[in-house]
Amino acid sequence: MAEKQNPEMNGRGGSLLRRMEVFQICDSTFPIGTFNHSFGMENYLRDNRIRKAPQFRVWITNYYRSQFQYGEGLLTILCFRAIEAGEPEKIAAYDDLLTRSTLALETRNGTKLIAKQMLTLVKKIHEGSIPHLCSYEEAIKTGRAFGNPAAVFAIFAHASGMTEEETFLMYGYSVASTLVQNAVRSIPLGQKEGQLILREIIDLLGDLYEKATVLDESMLGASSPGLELAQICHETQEARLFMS
Amino acid sequence: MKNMCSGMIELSFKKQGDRTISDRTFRHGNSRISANIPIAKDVPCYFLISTGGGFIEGEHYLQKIHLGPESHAILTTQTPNYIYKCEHGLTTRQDMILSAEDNSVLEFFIDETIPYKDAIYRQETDIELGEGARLILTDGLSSGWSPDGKPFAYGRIGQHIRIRHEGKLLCNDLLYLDPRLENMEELGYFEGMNCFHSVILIDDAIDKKMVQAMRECLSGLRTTARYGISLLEEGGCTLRILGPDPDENHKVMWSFINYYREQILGFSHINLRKSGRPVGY
Repeated sequence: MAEKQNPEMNGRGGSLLRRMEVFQICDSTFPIGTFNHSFGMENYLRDNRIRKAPQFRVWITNYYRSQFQYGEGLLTILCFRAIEAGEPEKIAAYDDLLTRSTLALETRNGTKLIAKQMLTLVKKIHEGSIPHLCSYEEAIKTGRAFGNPAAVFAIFAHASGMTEEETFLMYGYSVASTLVQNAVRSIPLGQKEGQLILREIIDLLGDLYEKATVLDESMLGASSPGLELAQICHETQEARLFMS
Repeated sequence: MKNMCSGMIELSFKKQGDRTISDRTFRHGNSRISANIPIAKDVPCYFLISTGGGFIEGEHYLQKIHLGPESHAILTTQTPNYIYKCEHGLTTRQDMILSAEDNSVLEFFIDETIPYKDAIYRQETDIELGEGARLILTDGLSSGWSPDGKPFAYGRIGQHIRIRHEGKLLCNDLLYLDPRLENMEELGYFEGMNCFHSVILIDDAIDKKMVQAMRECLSGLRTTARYGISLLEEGGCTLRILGPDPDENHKVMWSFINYYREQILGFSHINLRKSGRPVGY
């Protein structure tokens, strides 16, 4: 375990091992409850606005262009920069800002729940060896932060030697792969169709990173009407597979 | 600041005896304030007016509203907020700085923004609330206007509402869209609708049960608009409406507002008596 945190371990094999630590968390089967959340997508299933792959592709693309980019995507960048600048206390403030920008109750609660489970599991795997993660957990416990998985991920990825761009891209991939798996189960969508859409989101993530890198916290939490309304309407949806 | 603005309004209210009076009304440039319109007993109501019938590209407007402790005021825009003559890619901007001290009630019914072709608009609304202060705030955005009738011909729009309670952030609501880069007709954006409206209620008494009662009150409405109510993290709730036109949205919006004002707060009924459907649809 001590070796994992060794900054000297930057040879080729070492660097790949560090990446694999991060890959493990990006896996859509990483058990942090993400399979329970559709972030409003399920509301489009109810009235057949999402029926098959083409509509899901539009939804997930626009989710990334809007809510992901200005929400969790931007949050990974801001948290990464806060650690780099020696101002990790800013992470709690960004978390507070993004949570209070999320007007759908279920989306807020789902996000907090995922963050909590991610924190617990990452700490278990890495034996509490990431100081900023402990401070963030403390901030959540004392009510200074709510808990956001993008913040947990950014802290962990930074500690694992990832760059800001890698952090953004890998977190973006992990959310997309989960949303695609959730769509495969619920729409339902063919596994192959799902992978084609995931591949498109991977391409999109590159563009989104370019755009997000010039944004500051004043853009954090920007939303678009349809995505947000679907997340709000999911609250009163009777037949449901997902918690959000 | 005064000289830099195309229009400015400053309004301040205070409680005097049993009623609220306005203790400062100041206007500058293209902004006007109506006389007190007696629509609610003992509660002053003012219409905020833009003399040009809207904002012209590149203009900057400023509104400062203050409510003293225990006071109650109703404010509204006279018309939707048109952003027009947008020919040079300049940003039009409006800043609203609102403060409502302890136990006051601010009702601010802002009509929707109607951006013309190529409009770029930024609206910043900063609200500071004291202990026990209540807020009813509306806002909205339409598909705009363009000479060829095509919807969403405008550029970047940012409508930002930041509400603080005794200095602590309660709610940060940032609507940010750029139809030049994103297809507003698609899922996630306007989804085939033309008009988006939002109502934010800040009131410590709002809880899950009250939100459920609000939902039940709206459930009898016949409307083609889609809407939903959700609790804020603390201190209030929000109603979002996506509908085919402003009339349909207003129907939902006012059923909600009237229920809250009359059934929960016990206020008397108000009718702002605005003219019917505005141009631009």
